[in-house]
Amino acid sequence: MFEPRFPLDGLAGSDAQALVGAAAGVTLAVRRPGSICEIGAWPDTMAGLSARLHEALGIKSLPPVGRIATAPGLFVLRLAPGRFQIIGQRTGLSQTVAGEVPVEEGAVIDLSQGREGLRISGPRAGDALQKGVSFDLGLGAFPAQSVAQTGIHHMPVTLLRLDDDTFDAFVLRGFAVSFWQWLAGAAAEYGWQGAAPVA
Amino acid sequence: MSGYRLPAGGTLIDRDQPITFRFDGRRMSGYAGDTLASALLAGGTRIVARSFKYHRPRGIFSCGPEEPNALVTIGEGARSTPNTKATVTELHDGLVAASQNRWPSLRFDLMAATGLFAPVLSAGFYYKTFMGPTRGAWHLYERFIRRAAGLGRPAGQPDPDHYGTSHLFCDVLVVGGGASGLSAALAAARCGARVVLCDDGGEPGGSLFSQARTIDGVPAHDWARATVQALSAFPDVRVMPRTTVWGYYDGNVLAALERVTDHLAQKPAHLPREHHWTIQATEVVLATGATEWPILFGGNDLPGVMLAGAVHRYAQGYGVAAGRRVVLFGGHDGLYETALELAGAGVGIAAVVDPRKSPPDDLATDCRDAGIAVHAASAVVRASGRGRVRAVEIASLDAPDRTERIVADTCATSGGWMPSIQLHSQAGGRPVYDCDSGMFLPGAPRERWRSAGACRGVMALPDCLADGAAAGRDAAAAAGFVADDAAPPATEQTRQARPPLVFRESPGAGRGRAKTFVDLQNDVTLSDIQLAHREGFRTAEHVKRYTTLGMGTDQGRTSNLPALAVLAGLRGTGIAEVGTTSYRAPSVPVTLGALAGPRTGAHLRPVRRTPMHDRHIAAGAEMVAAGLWMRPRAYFLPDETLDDAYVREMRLVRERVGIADVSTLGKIDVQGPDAATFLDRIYVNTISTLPAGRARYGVMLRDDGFVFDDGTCWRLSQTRFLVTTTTANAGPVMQWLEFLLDTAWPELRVHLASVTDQWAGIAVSGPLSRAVLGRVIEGVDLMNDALPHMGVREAMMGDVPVMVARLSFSGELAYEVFAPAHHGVAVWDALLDEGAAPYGLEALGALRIEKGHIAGSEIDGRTTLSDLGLARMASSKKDFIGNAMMAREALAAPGRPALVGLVSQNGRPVRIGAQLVEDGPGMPPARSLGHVTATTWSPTLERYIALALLSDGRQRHGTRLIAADPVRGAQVPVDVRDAHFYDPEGKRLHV
Repeated sequence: MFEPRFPLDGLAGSDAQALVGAAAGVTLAVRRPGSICEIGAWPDTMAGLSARLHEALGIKSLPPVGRIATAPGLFVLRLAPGRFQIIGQRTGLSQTVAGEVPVEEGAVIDLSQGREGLRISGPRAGDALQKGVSFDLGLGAFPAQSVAQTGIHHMPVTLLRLDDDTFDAFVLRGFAVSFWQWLAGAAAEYGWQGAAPVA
Repeated sequence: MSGYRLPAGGTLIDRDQPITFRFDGRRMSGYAGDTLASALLAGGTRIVARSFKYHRPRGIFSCGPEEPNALVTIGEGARSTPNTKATVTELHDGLVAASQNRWPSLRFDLMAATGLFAPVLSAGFYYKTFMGPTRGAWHLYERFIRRAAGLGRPAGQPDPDHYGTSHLFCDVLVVGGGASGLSAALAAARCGARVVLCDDGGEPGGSLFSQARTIDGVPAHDWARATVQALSAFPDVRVMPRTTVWGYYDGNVLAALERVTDHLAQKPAHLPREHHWTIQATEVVLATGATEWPILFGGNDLPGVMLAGAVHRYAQGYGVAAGRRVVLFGGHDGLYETALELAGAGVGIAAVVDPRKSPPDDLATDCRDAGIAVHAASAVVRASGRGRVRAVEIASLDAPDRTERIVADTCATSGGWMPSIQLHSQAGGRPVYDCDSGMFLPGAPRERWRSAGACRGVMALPDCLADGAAAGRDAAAAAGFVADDAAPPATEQTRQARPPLVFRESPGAGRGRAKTFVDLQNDVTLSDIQLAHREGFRTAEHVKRYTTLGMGTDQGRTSNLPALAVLAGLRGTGIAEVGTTSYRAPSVPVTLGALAGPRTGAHLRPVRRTPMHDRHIAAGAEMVAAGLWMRPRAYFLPDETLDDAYVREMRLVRERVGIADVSTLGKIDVQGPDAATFLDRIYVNTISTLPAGRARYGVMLRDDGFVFDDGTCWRLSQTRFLVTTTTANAGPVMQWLEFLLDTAWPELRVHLASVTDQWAGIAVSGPLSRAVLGRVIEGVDLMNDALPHMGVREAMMGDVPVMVARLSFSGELAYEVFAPAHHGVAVWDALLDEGAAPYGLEALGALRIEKGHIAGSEIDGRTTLSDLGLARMASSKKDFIGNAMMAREALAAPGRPALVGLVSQNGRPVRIGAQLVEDGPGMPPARSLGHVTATTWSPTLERYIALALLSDGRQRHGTRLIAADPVRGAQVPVDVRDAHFYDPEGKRLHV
């Protein structure tokens, strides 16, 4: 049995914090889903793919571009017309989906170990992220259940808004430490505290 | 001592909060709400600075960002900030300020002797003195000139403060928090728009803090504060004091600087000193106000000559009398009202000097009743005194040579108002001169802005309030909101004013002993402009550059209009014909720290770490940047040099087994029914014939026929491939392939995904690699027959699935093991436990040089397949990207560079970048035949060897050249040979 090692081990624990007085405007937690799976659909196979994902994962319908659909224990992000990402709590999701989606209908790629996520929450979470995100994070422009692929400080980021004050940000694994450092710096003005990892 | 604190009054200060500060080491006091300038004035300080060129004593001239004189250094040590305007520096307890550009002291400045040389320091001094035969003298005098002339000095130490940057979005951005701006913001907010109000002052309100009228039944300054409160109560309104919008860019993007902690005595560590905002607004309301401009007369730079509006604001806003006997000079009714209000506040007013023949009867009578002399049809022709104003001389305009002396310590002038149109001009057409008002008004908008209030020539308070409200409503409507019909804030109507007289220059200005300054900050006099005109400089832009007029930190806010008037007079035209100079960003000085924000030092850019990063550090590796990736250069044993370390690591690979972290190689998952077709089109060689479980070396060309990148392509199944790229080109290759799929071949059913970070990659290289790897993984037969060179297999390490490919960059028996990233460390550790040792980037590069493999330094964007000896790879049975253009005549011309090997013949290393020249007498200089791309010590040959791109290289095998490195002073004789120094038959790959 070989233990996995995560890039933010020892950095982003629940005991990490930089409060302002006794307050923290931002809470930072490692987002550690069991699976991250990318699906590429062909232009004429969207309907079939939708049916198969409904059957395999219980997703009622595929979300429009830039939006998130949810099912118990997982998010389905539509990053582009034919590009989806599934973030789920359980492991092995990629294999499950790959077993359901034949290559004639789409491609399935496991990215579970290629991305590292952070959950950013709290009343100043949006303000901290807006320091790096160059599109409007206002609720009118980027409401809950939205997703965008963007860049923060030269790092590609997949950004999800789950509710008014809660975001998930996924970066390439190699950027994890730099992203953590950037985020902690951006949140320092408001005070931040670490929290336990979120599956 | 002239200025003093009035016993009462001051809408901006809190007399219950006294504070102390230091100026040039002198302990002084003020109140919360003061600026440094108001506190210095209150303390009786007349001289606050020395001028740029002549070191003339200068006092406070204005009360805002237009200040040309009062530049000081704030703070001490590494936190000192030079050239800060005292007029916008908010006072706080413990503030330390120092005058600058003087020696040894402000009051006694020996450098003032430069004034004796004023006749030769005229306009164009540098151009006349240091060009032509005497240009060499510049190097002699530069040091002295730089020391004598100039502004403050930077700290010269790393800035210990931190700075923030962020983005801000809104429906309506209101720039300027005066009467018009507040009214606009309120109107837009009432429509439901998301509003941002930026004001550069410590407290929005602008001139309302020196305004005697009421608005909506309350004093104007109370209305300002109440309005700010009301705005702040809207959920989607953000009021940003101390925030200066300094740039207006395409797409309604504006740049703003917020001063966060400069005004605080205790600066919280968690807050940035300044915050830079990039604001994207759907609509913009520019309510930037107007700047008062002075009238030109002799001696107009003496401390005590001020703008009338500033004298007024210091009294009303800060409870400070600028002087004990003030003469007001200007040609509009507002000056009488100012005189009366100042007198009412307790300021001693000696006289009002009005160049108009018919002053307003009612106001003139009120002034006389208040004991203020009124001189109509007259002008101040000179201010006199030593180091400060002690008297002003006035003369009737009918008899300008007959002067009358008025004892005074302050001369407050007001020539009129110049709209602040810097931002308008950055995002609009050229300003338009309005002859009636004597103002430049904003040109046509090029972006989605509208202006309100004084910045578009609307000057009266009721009009400003109404204009602002209309602009705010219109902006909100244009942004998609329903405009409400609320009435604008109400105020008393103004009296009917007599027509103002545009009066810019007193009789006799520029003549006589007393200099007349046009640009106080850059010491440009009226005679400088006259001289420039005589020397042929006719346009505003030329005069600006020749005299440096308007090029100071104040951007000529108080000098441009008077200068244009002077130039117009000299040319015999109107100001409209002269036009203005261009306004460019930044409109105010912006600290470099704020522009950099947090992107400094280690945070300049992010880095990418491989899964084994910490293992490399622990093993003594020196990490180097390869793009954004951090890679181990070499693993150092105690007392080892770099050469020692990499040669030891090379021998390890040649003789035993080494492991290298190759996680940084780009990896692209290519899937789909048409994946093989797609890859056939992007590689020069054929991929579709590759069976599953095999890899193939491939090269991609750009569409212009040059080599783009190389790597391996692993066929994992009939419809799935793993494409590897060079570390440096991983991103560009991915972008290029996605571009092709989206635009050239959208019909192909192919999906691309970057899996670079999904897999930890480890190269296991050396004669013992099979044995070591075999003890670590299971489920795969590594023997030659089962896994031949370029074979790919899946395997297990415990419960971790891995991929193994038999590939070699080193020329030895070698494998690449790809493990899921979180398990990369486990595989690395297991290989070490079985006897492997790590080798770094330096050894990896040296091994490939011995083998003659190309890398990034050979794929430099200028080389073709043929140049690199790879022409035979190109398939003639299919089309591929670059195929058409690679056959261009120039790409197959004789003399093209070709990859060759070099061997040093004198035992000295061959430098990368060295130029290859023919050996011969008189060398160098000589024509370069090529250059060295990579170099190393070869333990195999026991020589320094190199790779090079050499013109007609293949025909030069066996010849001797010189590798000349003139920059670093080395010339090494080298023998040219083929690039395959080591095992050219490739036998060691197949053992």
